[in-house]
Amino acid sequence: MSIPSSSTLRTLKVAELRSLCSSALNPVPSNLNKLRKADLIELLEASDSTEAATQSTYEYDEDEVDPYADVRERLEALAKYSAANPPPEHHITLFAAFTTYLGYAVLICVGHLRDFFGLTLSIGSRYVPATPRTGVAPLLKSWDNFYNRRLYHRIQDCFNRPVGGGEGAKCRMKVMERVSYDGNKTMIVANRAADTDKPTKFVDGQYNETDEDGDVVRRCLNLGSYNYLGFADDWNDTCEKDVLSVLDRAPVSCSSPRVEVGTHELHRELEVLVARFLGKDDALVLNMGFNTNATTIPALVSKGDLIISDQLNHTSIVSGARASGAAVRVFKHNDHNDLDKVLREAIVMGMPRTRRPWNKIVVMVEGIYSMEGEYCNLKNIVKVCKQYGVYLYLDEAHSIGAMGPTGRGCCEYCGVDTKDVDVLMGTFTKSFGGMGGYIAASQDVVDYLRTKCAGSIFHNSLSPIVCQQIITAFKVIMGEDGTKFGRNKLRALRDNSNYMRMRLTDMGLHVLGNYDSPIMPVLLYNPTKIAAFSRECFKRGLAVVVVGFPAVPILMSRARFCVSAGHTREDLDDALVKIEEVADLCCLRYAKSTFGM
Amino acid sequence: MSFIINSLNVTSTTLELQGTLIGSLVSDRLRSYADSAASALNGSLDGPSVPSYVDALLFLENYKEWWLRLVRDDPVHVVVETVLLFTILVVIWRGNGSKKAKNFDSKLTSSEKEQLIKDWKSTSLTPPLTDQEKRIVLRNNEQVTTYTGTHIQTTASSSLLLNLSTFDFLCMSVSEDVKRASRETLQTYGCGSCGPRGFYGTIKPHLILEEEFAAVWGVNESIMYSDGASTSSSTVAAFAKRGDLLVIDQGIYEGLLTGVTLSRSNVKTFKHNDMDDLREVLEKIRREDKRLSRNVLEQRRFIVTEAIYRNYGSILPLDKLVALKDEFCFRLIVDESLSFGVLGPNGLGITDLYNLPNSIEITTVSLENALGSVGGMTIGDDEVVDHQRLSGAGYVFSASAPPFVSSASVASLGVIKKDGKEMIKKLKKNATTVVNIIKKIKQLSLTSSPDSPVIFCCLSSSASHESQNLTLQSIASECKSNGVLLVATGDHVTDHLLIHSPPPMLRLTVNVLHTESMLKKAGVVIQKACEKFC
Repeated sequence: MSIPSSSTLRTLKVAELRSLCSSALNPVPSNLNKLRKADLIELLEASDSTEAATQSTYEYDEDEVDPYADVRERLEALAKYSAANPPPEHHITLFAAFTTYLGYAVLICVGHLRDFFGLTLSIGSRYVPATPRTGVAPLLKSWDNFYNRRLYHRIQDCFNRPVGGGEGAKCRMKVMERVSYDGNKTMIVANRAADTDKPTKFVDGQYNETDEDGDVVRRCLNLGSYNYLGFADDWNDTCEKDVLSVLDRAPVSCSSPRVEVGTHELHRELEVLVARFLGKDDALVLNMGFNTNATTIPALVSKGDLIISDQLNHTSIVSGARASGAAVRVFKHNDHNDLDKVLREAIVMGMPRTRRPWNKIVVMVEGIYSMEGEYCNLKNIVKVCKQYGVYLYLDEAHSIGAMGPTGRGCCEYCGVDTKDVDVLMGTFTKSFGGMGGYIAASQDVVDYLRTKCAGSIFHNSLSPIVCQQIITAFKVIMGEDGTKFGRNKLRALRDNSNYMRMRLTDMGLHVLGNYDSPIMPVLLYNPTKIAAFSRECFKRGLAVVVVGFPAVPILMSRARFCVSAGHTREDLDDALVKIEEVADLCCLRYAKSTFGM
Repeated sequence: MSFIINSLNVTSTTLELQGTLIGSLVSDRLRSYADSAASALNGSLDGPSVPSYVDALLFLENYKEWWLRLVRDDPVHVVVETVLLFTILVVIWRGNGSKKAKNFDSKLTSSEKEQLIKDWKSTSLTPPLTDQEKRIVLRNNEQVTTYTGTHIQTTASSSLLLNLSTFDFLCMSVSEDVKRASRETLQTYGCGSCGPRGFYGTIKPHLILEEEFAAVWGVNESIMYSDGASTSSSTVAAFAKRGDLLVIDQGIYEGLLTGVTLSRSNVKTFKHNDMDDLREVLEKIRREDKRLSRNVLEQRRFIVTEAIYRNYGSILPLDKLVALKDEFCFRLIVDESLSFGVLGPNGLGITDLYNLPNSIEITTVSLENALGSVGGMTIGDDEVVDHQRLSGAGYVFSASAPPFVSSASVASLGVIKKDGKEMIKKLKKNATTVVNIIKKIKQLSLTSSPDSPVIFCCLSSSASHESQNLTLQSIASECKSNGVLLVATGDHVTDHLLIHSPPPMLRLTVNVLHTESMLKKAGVVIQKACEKFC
């Protein structure tokens, strides 16, 4: 349904606007009759702009085949519904909660028992920590160490799986098989030549191959990498030429910080490009995504300032906030009402003890929360920040390039002008297939950061070769390479994600997050199912990521699927059949019954 | 009763003790109260049926008797108990009062709150730039267009400048071996790794590099980070925690210091590279241990230093340091970012120089300097490496480095193994040449170690910090316009993110491709510039 232009909208009466809203918006806001004229116009304009942009990018041309034609209508309806409603909340079933706690209790008791016998009887337990020099405290102690030895080591084959076979983290990749001869304490890459006399413990089967060094690899569908736009898959077609030509003329590393002689011309080219892409004055590009947060935040805020951080923000933000010396308050995940409450209290109460007003307050949120698959409720958060005159820092590590009709991230997707977000941060590791991170902001802020941020004044700068990779990826996404690769990638990513999410939800799994987000965590709950799910999937040629405590709350262990533009519908259909098998095996259909069966 | 005890628990620990005491006393009294009541009741059962008010009277009579007996027998008991009871009431009453005082907020009316919110104005996100900071921005905008190892061309220069500023000591970043290895890996594995090490971001070249490094050090394992500076900060913060003790050199660079800050451990500092001062600090700690009878086996203790100090160019006296850490039961964390590939006869760093292999518990190395690649490594025993795979923040929570940089580092290591001895000799010779040049210039005085390829010098005059800085900046830009690129550190290496501000200095780094004539020519340029501005 078409919506009149904004000048026409302003001439309409309130009643007419209301009727227009009720027919054009889906779902219709519940407080429609209470809204004022300005609000109504804003609502209509917003729905118009996103819809128009969405259609132009996501529609298939006449000569293209829509792989999802049969489910297209349902996909669009689900995406639309999800955009207007909060993501589904899953409540852990009583049975799952009980068995999860029981599982941890057994693991911990058995762990302590084994420690006890290992230490007192010294019967050579493999996990007894090394004895340090006399007079020196043990290097590792406490819960961390116990957790590693007794819980993590049991299932460490599910993590840190190396990728080999002469291919990178592509959608169809080769994962190296590993074996352990000491009860999973250390993992060794399985090699056919070296291990002939030792019993091999990996499940040899139809997916296995041997690479040129004799290492055993397993062909897997990659459902775990952050290769959202699939640049790892078509690297040789899209990026190789540019990147290798830079390798010929530029050094591998600048071996110098940005402010000394570490600024290569490609750094500036990239910075200008990032700023243009995001509609900001300027940008600063640093060597590592994690460090971009960890070094920028201490440069921006200090003692006397307040950081208000989303409950589920990434460790890099936490790390930066901790190093900055500023006070930190936390608001409930993605809840703008709670943010409002926290802000009010902070401003009214001022600093603790001295009661002086805060110098400045910075709200920190992420575009997509990587463990939740949810995107930020940016529009409302921007509104609250503007109301109180506080600054907003948005970490788009996962959302840049992966969301919005033209890949411009959470701002574009949520219909927020980038001018309303004071500092935009993002990384190049995910959608762009490179490394490093950027800060995009107004000229003053970027200039100030160049002089104060440790990443700029002390740390060595980003490799010029990686710069070129990112520049090329940007050009493809923006369509400046003269092809439709970028548009197709963005469209494929969205369709693949929504299809996968729809099918996983249909299966009766507890799937977290929103439609249009490429990350879909599936709740496993029980600690034992973490390894079971991962190993069973691996056996079937699926490489999935599983996450347990302490990265997520103790009850909320999960598997996480990351979908890429490089996947085809056949890949996903095949994977979904296998996931369904594993879900039955592990009893994960918690949306269908308490017992997950 | 439990309510009283509970409320006391909340107020404070001292009162908590009192509360339990009172609790037991009061319950005693209650018990005797119940006993007397029971005896009264028994009495009434013995006799013929009596009206109920008689019961009540009897009870009162009994109670009075019991009370009088109590006062007569144990007056102190009664007094103490009464006082305690009174205290409880006061505490409860005051407790409510103090809660009210704490909750300042409740006194504000909503309109007052609105006014406060309306009045609050945020300061600007960043303060305006000072002149010094503007100079940094200008320098940052000057871009490198050509880099050959010995020479650099920038957008601000019309010709090639002699490179005395990058940490590319062995010119590996332009070496053919390194580029070939990078190209091969790029062609097979693509550029990015698209994930953290834990989640399919571990690519085969990463494993090969870790193996190679471990072999060089003679240990089982090593661990790769994707950024040089975060290697040291993540490593320190992974081992030292709240309650542990770090003794740190006052001159350590920002990466290590950030790790120290993040660890939230107790920190003691000693004078830059001064082992006598370190001994004093350690002895003081030992005296304190005795005085407070601390259990040293409960506290992890580390000495944190750099092998070649990035901001001073001084070389760590490892032999003395190892003796000290053994004597005082400390562990060592040493950052070898600038010394690996540079010091020692084989170029294997500070342990090679002093021939003290495996004397350092935890070593961090940046791959971005002598190895001309990207990333960093931590080397230690199995326990050290394994622990970081779950606790090193930069390892766990960050995407892994592109696989081609691992291959590049492996190639660099190969070159060092093959030609290391000769390269190190050449590098040392070049360093000596520059040191001799600097010594001859009377306006400058050398502050770095004579063997270090990172050469620092400051002005001999005793002018103010600011004017020294300006002079050195002018000297550096004069040198640049005459074809020599060196770094004046006064603008950006300040006390920001460091413990102390080093004096304004000139920094010159030599590399293996420099020839003696290049360096001598540079010497003349520097001499002339110094004469012009001092």
